[in-house]
Amino acid sequence: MCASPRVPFALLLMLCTTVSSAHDYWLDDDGDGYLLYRGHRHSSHQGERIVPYDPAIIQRVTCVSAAGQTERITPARVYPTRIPGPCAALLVEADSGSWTQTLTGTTNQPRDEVFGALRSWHALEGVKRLETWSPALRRSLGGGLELTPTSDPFRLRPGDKLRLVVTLQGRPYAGVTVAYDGEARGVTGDDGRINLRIRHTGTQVITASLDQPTLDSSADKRVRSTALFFDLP
Amino acid sequence: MNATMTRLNLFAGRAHSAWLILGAALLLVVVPAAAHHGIAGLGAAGLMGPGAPIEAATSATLPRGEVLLYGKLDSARYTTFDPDPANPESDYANYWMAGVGYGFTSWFSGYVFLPYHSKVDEAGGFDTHGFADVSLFGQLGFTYDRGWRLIPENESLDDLEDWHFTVFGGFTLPTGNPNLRDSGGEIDPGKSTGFGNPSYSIGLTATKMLSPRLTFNQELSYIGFQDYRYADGNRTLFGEEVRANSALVYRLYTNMERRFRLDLALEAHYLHLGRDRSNGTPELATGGDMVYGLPGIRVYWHNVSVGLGYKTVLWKDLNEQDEQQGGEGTERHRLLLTFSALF
Repeated sequence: MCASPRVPFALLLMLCTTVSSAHDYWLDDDGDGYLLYRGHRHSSHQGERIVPYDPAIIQRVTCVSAAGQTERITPARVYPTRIPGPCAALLVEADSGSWTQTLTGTTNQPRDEVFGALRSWHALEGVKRLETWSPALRRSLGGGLELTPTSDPFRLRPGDKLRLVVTLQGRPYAGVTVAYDGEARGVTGDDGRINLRIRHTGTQVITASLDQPTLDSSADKRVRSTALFFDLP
Repeated sequence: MNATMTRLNLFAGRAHSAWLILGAALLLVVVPAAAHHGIAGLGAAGLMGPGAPIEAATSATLPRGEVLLYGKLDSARYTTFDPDPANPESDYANYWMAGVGYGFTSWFSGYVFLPYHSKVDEAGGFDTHGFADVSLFGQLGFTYDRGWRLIPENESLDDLEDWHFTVFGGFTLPTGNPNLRDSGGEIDPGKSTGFGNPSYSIGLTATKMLSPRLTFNQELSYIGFQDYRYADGNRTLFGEEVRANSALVYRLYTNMERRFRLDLALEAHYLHLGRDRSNGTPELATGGDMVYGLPGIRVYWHNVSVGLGYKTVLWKDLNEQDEQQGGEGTERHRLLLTFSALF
């Protein structure tokens, strides 16, 4: 955790909104499947809209059917990675390795291989897309940091609250900063739960991040980030 | 208690002990405490959460396990009417307040307040100084989110936009001195620094963020007193106090990196003071109704909050109004300075 839940929220915001992995992941429609992209479509900071990735960073793909059946998928190692569907929910987990920031920019290399490193982190990312709802989607689907609605989010309208639980390795996790449309709205409690208010129709973008210490010499810290997408008419 | 004072007896204000009211949600707190002589209003707010008024009570409980330190100065300067130096009137009063709060749970906080009062007359009058009655308060917080529930330990900014409510209650302990005597050996209950007997208070607050920057706050509260027989054999029962305090707080500026926030507050306070009774007989020139206006600013920096307000009477209807001086409703102004820090 980046801070104990007892630390004032304002302070938590300051501590936890400096996630430096800084890349968004999202899943675009591609017929009856999905294409995984990385870039800066949803985050507030600037950067290239599309940032290509090595398909080898993908660790696990989980598809849950409308009937609630869970399936592990091994997509072809091509860029952009295409994942066959349809899925009621789709979760992609990735490990993009170590990133190091220097005075001249940020590189996807370990700290000990870069001259003039200012800071570094090991990025573990996840992205979940919901198409429809089923009770099976109340549980976490993967092992990384994950955002899971506690009830059907497709019934919500602007002004309603989206109730989420944040898990890590399938267990509720406290102290995780959660943002709506890129704006930090709070930190999860001991039960991993947090409530966010729906502000608009269309694509809902909820993100969460967590800094963890690491003993790995290749990075100063481990940064876990995850995103949840779904559409409201 | 009713702090209206007559011009004849030259009351300068009463030794009201502190009573508290809590304020809002997350982190920094503003406290009230003490009837018209320094109401302790507690309010907590994070850098982005609901704002807290300068004096009115708000609907925030303290975070579980956290300690609040609070200080307040309510400096009242009174209008005088009689230029005759042989008849000195109440000039000013400083009501200091120190307090400590603790969050027993996320929905229940407890507070202790120690007031110190200075009541000063014009030259030749009777001045009193001293610690007043210690007060103890408890506050229970609720929110409305798909039904009533106690304030949870963890709330997001979106949760903080919901209606929040508190119920509070407290009482004073007669630790002050109710029997201060002037140079003539007379006891003036209005100049004492203690009530002699416990007083009690109850109240409600409601708070709602109307927008990400604007917070509405409402307080309703009551303070009751007990009859006390002074050392000179006379008895006094101060009149009850009823308050309806409304406030709007606007978050003017926030700097997250510096953990700094600046709020503007505008408060309207209605106060009803019951008529005092002396030896069982209603006392003239005591009690009445009034409305105060209170613009102010509040600054938050890290875990500290400082509020500054200027309070004036906008309207009043006092009993035997022409005979009252040196109490509520007859101030030229009040200056309020509050400090709070959360650890």
